[in-house]
Amino acid sequence: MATVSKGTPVPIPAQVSILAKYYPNGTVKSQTLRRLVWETDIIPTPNSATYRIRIDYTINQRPKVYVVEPPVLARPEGVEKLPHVFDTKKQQICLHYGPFGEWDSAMFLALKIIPWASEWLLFYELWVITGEWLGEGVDHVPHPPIIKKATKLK
Amino acid sequence: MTEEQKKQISVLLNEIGKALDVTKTEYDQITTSYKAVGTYLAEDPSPLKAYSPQIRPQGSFLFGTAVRPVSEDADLDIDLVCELTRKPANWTQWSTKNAVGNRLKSSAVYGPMLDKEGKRCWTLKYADGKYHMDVLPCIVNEGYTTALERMIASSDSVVSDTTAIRITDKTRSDYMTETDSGKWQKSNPFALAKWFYNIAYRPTNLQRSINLKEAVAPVPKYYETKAPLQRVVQLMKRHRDIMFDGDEDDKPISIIITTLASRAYNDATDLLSALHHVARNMTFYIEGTPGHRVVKNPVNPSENFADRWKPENNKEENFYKWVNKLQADVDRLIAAAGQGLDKLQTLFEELFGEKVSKASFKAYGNQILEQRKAGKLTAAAGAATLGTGTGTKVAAHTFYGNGE
Repeated sequence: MATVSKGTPVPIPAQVSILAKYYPNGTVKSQTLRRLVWETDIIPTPNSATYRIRIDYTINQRPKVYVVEPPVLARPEGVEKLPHVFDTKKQQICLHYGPFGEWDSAMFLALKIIPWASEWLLFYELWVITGEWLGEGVDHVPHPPIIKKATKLK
Repeated sequence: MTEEQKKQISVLLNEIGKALDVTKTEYDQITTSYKAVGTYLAEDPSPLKAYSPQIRPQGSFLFGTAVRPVSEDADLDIDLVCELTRKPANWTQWSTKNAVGNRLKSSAVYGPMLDKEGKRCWTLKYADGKYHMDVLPCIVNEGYTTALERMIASSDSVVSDTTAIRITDKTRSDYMTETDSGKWQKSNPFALAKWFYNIAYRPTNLQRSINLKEAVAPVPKYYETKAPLQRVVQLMKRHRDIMFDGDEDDKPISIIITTLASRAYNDATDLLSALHHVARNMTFYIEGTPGHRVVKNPVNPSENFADRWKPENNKEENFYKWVNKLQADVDRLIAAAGQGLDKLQTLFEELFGEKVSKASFKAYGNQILEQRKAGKLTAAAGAATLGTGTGTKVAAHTFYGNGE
């Protein structure tokens, strides 16, 4: 997915300091000038289980978010694939839709990506229970729906 | 258990309560049905016309504590009173009961719907509507409606015989003979309803209130939101229904559960605390000794709601078995706090049934989505736990699909 950058990207050290301010239990796994790998524990609702997520972020690219704990997320019986993920096996989750410009590198991971990941985990838990994804969203299709529409119009 | 955990479990329990409610559509269907019965009994050429028959709901439909049956095939059960003002001097209980019964039997519509005659009631089965109505014929005093309105409007809790109804009972020895309705069995269903609503709406921090006059009208107003005590009673009744699984004769009766829960209620407004307290304390309001238990009707202390508990049956034993299980199960709910929503769901399903449990989590998910769309959902510092308190606002976004 092409990544939008609307303004000056937030430098990695600033990302780290804001993450640490909101999520002091998080840990930096690796940090360079342009790339950050960071992990933290999330409890999406008061009675939820604890999950660990990893963010692998390179400036001007879409942040990759993985659920690393538990290593295999439970799913309803007979269902193999997780909803709203890039990759079930890697547990890489999809939090925003590129064409809508919901994320860009001028934003703080702590203020956007972490709350979205927590919300993903909540709707994941409800999906296991009810068999339904209650968080809305758009489905992955080989061509994103907006582009597909444009193609049709030609 | 943290306050936040308790609050979330209570929100989910409230959603279970909502899933147990009669829907607005069912409600409208039921009220339309019984209004039609009332009209049929009152209109020409009904011989009852002179006695101004009036049908009103009583019991759980009036208390807002009705629960849908566990089985999809089972009927909802609606208790109604059919009030006759005055009666011919020579009418006995038998004449009164049959005056109503004969009018129903003579109808091409209601005749075929009549079930076997009950001890005090006539039962109409609505096959397509999946409910049945127990119609209780009774005699009321002249000025009854005015007396009812006065009682409902008044702030005191004095119970007057002016709002009492006199009912028939075919197991009584004077059923065929006693013509003085003042000597028939007395009941005061609306004084009891007022007693219940006064307790249910006692917590001063309840945000919404009800209008008692609308709640106990011949066609009560449909309330979507209910007081915590109403929800607690619904949850307890469903817990009982699951435990006794269709064993209608042996399960504790609703009026005993409702009365004891009301007596024990501590004004807690979160459902888990209220349920826990009520389950722990409700048996303290049972009087008497084993084999001779008394659960007094709060508005008629001479009536014992537990009068059918007899040494030769197991009703008393079943009641205590149920309370013990309820206490243990509420403790399990408390122990499940913070163990994962799936653990809570498994327990809800066991205690209250699969359908209502799943409906509760679904409604909860919809609440969260609405909160996020309204910009009210926040992720707290620390573990990014979602809520509506202090924290980072969860910005608008779109979950993307499955690209594998």
